Amino acid sequence: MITNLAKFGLLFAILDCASSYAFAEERILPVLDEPIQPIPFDSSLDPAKVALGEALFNDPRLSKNNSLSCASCHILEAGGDDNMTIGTTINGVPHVINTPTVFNARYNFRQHWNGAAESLPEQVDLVLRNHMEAGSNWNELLTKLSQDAVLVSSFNEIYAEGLTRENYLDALNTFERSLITPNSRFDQYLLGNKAAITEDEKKGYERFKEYGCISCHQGINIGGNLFQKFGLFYDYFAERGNITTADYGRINVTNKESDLHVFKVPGLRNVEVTAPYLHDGQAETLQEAVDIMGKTQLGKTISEADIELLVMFLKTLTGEYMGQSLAAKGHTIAGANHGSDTSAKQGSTDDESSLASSGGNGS
Amino acid sequence: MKQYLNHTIGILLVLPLLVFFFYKSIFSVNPFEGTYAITQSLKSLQVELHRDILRYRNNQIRQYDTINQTTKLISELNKDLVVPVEHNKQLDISGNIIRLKKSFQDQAELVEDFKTNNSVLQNSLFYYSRVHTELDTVGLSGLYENVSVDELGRLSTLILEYTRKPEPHIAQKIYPILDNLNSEQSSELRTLINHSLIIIERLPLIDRIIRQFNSLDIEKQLDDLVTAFKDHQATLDQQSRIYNSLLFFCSLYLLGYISYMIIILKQNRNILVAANKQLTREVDERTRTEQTLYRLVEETSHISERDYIFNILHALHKSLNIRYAYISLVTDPESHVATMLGVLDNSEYHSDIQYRLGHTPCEEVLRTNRLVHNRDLQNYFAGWHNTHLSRAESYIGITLRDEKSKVIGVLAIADDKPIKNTNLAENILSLAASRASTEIARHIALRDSERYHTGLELIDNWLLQLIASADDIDKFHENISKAAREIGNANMALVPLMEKSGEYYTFVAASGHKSQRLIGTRLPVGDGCLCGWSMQNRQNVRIDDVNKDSRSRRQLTNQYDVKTAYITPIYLNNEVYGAITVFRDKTPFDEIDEQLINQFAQRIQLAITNLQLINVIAAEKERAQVTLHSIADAVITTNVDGKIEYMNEVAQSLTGWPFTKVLNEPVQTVFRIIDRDTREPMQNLIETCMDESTPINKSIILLIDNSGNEKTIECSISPIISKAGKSEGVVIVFHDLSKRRYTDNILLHRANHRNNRR
Repeated sequence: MITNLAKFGLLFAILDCASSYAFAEERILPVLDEPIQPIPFDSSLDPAKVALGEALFNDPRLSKNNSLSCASCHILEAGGDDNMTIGTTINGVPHVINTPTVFNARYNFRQHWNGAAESLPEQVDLVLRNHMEAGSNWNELLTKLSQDAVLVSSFNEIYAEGLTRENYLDALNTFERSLITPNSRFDQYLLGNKAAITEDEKKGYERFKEYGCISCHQGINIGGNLFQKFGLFYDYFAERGNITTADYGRINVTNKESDLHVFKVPGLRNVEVTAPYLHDGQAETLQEAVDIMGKTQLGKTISEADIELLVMFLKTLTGEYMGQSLAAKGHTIAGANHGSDTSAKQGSTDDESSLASSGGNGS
Repeated sequence: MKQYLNHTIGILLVLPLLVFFFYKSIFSVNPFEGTYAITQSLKSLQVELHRDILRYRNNQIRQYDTINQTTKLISELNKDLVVPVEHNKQLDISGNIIRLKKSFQDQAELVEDFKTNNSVLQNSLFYYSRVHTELDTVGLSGLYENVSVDELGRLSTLILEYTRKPEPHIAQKIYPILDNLNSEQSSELRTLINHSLIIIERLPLIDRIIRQFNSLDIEKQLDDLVTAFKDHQATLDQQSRIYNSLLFFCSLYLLGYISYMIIILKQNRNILVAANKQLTREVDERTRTEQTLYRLVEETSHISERDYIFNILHALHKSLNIRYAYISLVTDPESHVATMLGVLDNSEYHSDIQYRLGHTPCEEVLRTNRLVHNRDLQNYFAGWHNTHLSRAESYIGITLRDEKSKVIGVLAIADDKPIKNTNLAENILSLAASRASTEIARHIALRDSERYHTGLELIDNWLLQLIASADDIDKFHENISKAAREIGNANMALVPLMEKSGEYYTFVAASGHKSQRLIGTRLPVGDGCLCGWSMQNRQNVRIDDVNKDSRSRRQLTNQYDVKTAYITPIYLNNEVYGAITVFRDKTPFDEIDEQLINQFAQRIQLAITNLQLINVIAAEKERAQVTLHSIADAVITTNVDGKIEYMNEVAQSLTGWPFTKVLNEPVQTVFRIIDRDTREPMQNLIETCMDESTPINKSIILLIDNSGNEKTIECSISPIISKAGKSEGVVIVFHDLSKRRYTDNILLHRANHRNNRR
């Protein structure tokens, strides 16, 4: 029996031996790096394009009625999303899905919850033409922008062709690629600073791996690099009820039966400041989200103690933008934004803020 | 020229080939070069991807960023991979690429499937890993209370075995264990069962995905493609070598051809230069000749006809360097006689030589317009004896024409040896001829004009003589015949007169050729004689040969040895009076003759008419005067101004005024009348009569005469009306009532009659 157990223990250390049919030489040197990678330093971006892209990012002329810019929903100070259950639309009517953060979006292998956009420029294109989002089109947008002499001259300074669709996308894309949050405490830990995270947080990371969260949430963005069915062990939608088109997930894009309720696995960086969670924004706290994920994706009810450890680990993933931690800033701006924006959500927002801060205090 | 055309075509045919070969050998690019590079990149990425997939499968890597990056690069390269336009059907590279692109798409989906399923599997494997850890640390009893360690050990062993070799019979062994576990109602156990089931299900699934992945065999496809590219490159290289050699041969050919052309052109150039030289010489010679000719003619054009002709001939002689040159005037080709206006034999010049045209080159020229005879002239024209061109061997002649293209003469040159350049000589002769014919035509016209005016003078002179002889009608007619003969320059002239009946005519005068014996001959009109025919048909007749004319009377004309004739009728008061008939021995009458004779006939007509009128007027006037003088009433006539024109003896004695004193005095001066009762003057009667153009009769009025005596008269004042209805004056007829007379009406009638006649 002990032999059996020992064999079982050895199973994962030498799992490669199980596949007898490929790359014999690779088996000798197993790669056992951490499955999570720190955000690399990128100095290749043109500052002028970044500045121009930022102007476009904040330009409400993107939308048909000049009401919404990219920044209207992707509030950088609030963690790159809008901190609302469901996003807003140009008509003020609620969106159908939760707004994902724009931070580190460049590390996602697809954009949108259902992976409809293959790249960042494609995402911009879809948003521009989406009747709920910008509700505009290229012709209209470029006509509007071409009347802005200052903007046009900025384009002319950078691009030979001036203001065109391609250059617009390039500038905006460059800016979005600059939206990364390095230097999180966990990244520091990965880069060798053993003291960057506490023992509890290390335990949380161990739980993260043990529970199998790591099998989907890995890579630079700790997710954002594969599709997975939501509800592997447990029918989330049956319990929640009120199923919308957005809940169908990737099937809306591929029309493949197997893609029903399949979503892009979201990255977990800065997850602390991007509440509420899940594609429908139903999880208001990280604890809730972790609980739901355990049930649906791992087929396991995670103990409260482990949830706390996991949440502690997740909070080490909050990075810095422009040298400032998103954690401190996110709360104030998010609160202010909500106060002025949506009175209907006032109460819940306050709750989130307090929960988030209490979570932070707890760690 | 045709030769050059052939050469040009030869080169033009080769040039496109040359360009084509050049293009093919130099610019021949493998159309798949870009595709080849992409394929190479794809190949390395594909190897990487394959390796990574297997690593994931073996859990050697635990994050998907690298696989995503590779997949993304592959997908981008796949977009760049363009299906080329097929050049060589045998290669079927396009088909390969289309298949490859499809495979890449399939592969991308497989990778996504793999990631999704693999992550789930890994999760379940982690679970088992954690179970193991918990077994070690916490102990079995805490978690799986109702499960025996043996059972769990067996399960894990089977799972391990299954992960090594995912075969159904192992799965069949696992299922009963899971069924046993399922009977327990623990959530932990349920999780354990779920994860076991995932491992059982997903492992074969992942292996199937990997098998599918392998079966796409993209590496093999890429290898095939690379091989195809290399084959194609090899083909292209071979083609390029062939085109290179073709280009070489083509260039060689062209080079040879061009060298050949250069040689040919050089030869032709020499020929052309020689020809050009020859041409230049000829042109020079010709220009010089023409200039000489023109200078000679121009310099001398103002001098007289004779000298002019001499100069033309002299110029021809000098410029063409020939011995003979002559100009002949041919007024009538039918007459077979021509006149040499001038003939030049070297420097010897003769003029005005008449000769017969028969059997001469001149006749030939007239017939054919142009004659060029370059040797043996004397033999050819055997019957030709011309002293002035005695040694002529060669001959060129052309006709001279006036502006109506009528032949007027011949210009010819001749030499005692063959003429060198006949073309040149002919052209020069043409130039000289146009010049000469203009001059000659002008001289002919001038001569005609002179003749006409001389004729008119003659006519005038003769008319004076005719008028002088008007008293004697026979003399008058004789003069007409003489005048006609002289004016018409004729040998014989006849004057027939038509009888009133119009059936007979009589020759009243004749002149020349002993024709006097014809005088008095009376002939019927229409007996076949020309005179009769002309008078009967009232037509002028010109006949060039009377013997051949159907209208003539042969016996008559034969008798008098005449040939040509002209007849014009003379009219008098629209009746044929007679005719003027002139004859010549040979020369036909021309237009000038005609005009002159016509003119003469008209003048005679006028003269005869005038003479007859003069006679009539004189007789009438005399008779009227006699009448007026002899009547017993007093008569005064006035002109339109009321001035006295005439008074008879009675009027002179009644008024007491002598006619001589009051001629052209106002009539009122002489004819003073007053009313017998009122004694008012009645002079206005005359004006009233004139103004109203009506006769006025008054009886018993008083006339006061020169001495103041009063006489009772009866008077009649009548206007004198001309034929045109115009008032020309009045006639006053009056008589002393004491010596009453009854002749008033008669006198008035006579006066009116006289006026009408006038």
